[in-house]
Amino acid sequence: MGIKFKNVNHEYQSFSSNEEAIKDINLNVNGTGEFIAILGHTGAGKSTLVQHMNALLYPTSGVVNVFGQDLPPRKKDKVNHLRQKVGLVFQFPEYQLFENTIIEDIAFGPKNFKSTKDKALDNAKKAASAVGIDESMYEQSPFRISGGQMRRVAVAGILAMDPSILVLDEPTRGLDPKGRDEVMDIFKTIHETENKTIVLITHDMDIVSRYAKRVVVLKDGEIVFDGLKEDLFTHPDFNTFNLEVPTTFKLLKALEEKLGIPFKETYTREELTNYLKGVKL
Amino acid sequence: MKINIGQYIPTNSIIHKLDPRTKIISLILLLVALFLIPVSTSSLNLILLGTMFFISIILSMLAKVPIGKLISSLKPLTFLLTFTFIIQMFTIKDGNPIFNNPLSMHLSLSSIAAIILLIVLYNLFKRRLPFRTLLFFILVFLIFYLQYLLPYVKIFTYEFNPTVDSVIRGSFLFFRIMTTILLTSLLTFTTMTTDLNYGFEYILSPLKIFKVRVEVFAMMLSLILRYIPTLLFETEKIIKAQASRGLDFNESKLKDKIMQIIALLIPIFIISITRAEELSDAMEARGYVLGAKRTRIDEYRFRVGDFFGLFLSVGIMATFIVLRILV
Repeated sequence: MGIKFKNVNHEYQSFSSNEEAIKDINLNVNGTGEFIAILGHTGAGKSTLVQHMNALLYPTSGVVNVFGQDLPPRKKDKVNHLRQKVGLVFQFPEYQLFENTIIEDIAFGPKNFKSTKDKALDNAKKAASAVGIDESMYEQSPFRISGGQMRRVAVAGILAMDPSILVLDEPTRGLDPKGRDEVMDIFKTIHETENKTIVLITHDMDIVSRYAKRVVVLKDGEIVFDGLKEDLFTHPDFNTFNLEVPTTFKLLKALEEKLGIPFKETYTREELTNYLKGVKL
Repeated sequence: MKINIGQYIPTNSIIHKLDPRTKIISLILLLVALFLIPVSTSSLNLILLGTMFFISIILSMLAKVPIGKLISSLKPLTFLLTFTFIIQMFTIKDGNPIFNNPLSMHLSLSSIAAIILLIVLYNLFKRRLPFRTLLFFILVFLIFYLQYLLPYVKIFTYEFNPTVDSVIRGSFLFFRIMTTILLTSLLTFTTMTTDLNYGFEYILSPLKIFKVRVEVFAMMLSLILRYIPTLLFETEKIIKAQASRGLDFNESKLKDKIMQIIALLIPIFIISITRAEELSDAMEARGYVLGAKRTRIDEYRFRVGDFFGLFLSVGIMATFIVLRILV
């Protein structure tokens, strides 16, 4: 079970013409164990694509199957329950906060999905501790904390619904490098301990190289690459994707030029340092 | 989301090139002239109304506004126009009746059933059919015709006796509202919001004598117009974000909906306030001082065309006033 896109198109209607945001998308996302990064330049259709995953948008042609439910739905089919299974965190999610206290805001999601108040609070507390919100902050107003903490509270609001698939639209946008690493580590931990599928839109190639397992590249609404991260950077058409290489690659390429250290594909800082330790000049 | 306010259509016609002040003043003059025509069935008044309607059509053609846009600006009023017309038909009793004998209309089980069926069919198929406005008129006509046609299993019968006068007066109001909308939307079609804003500021400037801060109101107006699309965009984002947390307007009960609105309103308020603060900082950083004298990039000057336009509209209004007093 998971999400299956079959020949999906989506058109936005405008005054004069219809614009195709995504074209002929075929994509399978497993319900467990995947860590997918969706890449592509601005306007490539990334946000449109992920909004199909939790039934916020319906395909104008083609079918999306989310946990056995076909979209667009037939009449009388309810879709709201899908949003519990596929949790979507938007860009700048801190704007969605509205409750009086942090813990109530986190519990808003589970409450909407008909869990009892106690259960919702339990889930909220679990989610809060997963994102590192301390118990002493539970009763504070979500509008009186720092931007980075607001982002965590918002993410916790989605986590508290206990979704099987977590979809994130640029979760690190507007955060400093430290905040970025902290937020990404939260998702990594969730992925590793609970084996949840994570789908993430990003422009940051270092996040891709460090965390993602699979990469989907969109260009002008079409999927031009779908495969393992290791295959992306060596892909013959890589230059046409308009993507950068990660810092580790840049560093090793520079070292190869200046010092003659042979280039090797390394994806994380640890891999890089391990490799460099073994190099003899 | 579709919004028709302030929808500028850049066709660069002679109407577009007129000074915004000319257009606003002319609009006011023409509207005054239009509303000076008394609602009556005398042929002079009908000719006057026809002239005004004709003038507005000519102006739209001069402005090269696509006919589709004109019609779509009238569409929101279809219901109001039809309603006014029907009310006239029922209330005006003067003049000669159209039919020799009053029509007896029946609210019967059969006619009510037929009407309900008709409305259901209309609502089911209207999305797929062209000429929706025309269809609406046909629907309204059929609703009345069915009451005449199907007297079986009577519940209530009333007499419907429209007079020639009532039809004329109904059409009179119909055309007057239409002309008003045409003229007003012509202003927004041919004038950019910044120009409009300057026009209003200029026209209201006499109020400065009474210490009304016209320039502040003008700035507020232009900021409001500028931020409508932005706020709509933000609202849509918040709706989607809350929908992702399980808030769904489509699938919940009315009781829940009221609570759910709070989940939308608070974030939207906060975004608006944040945006307003950022904007005021940005304006101050670029040297905006409240109440200070400001210069403009575009200087507005009355040209020959403006004087001609003003002269024409003053002339039209004067003629209408004279006719109103004399006749």
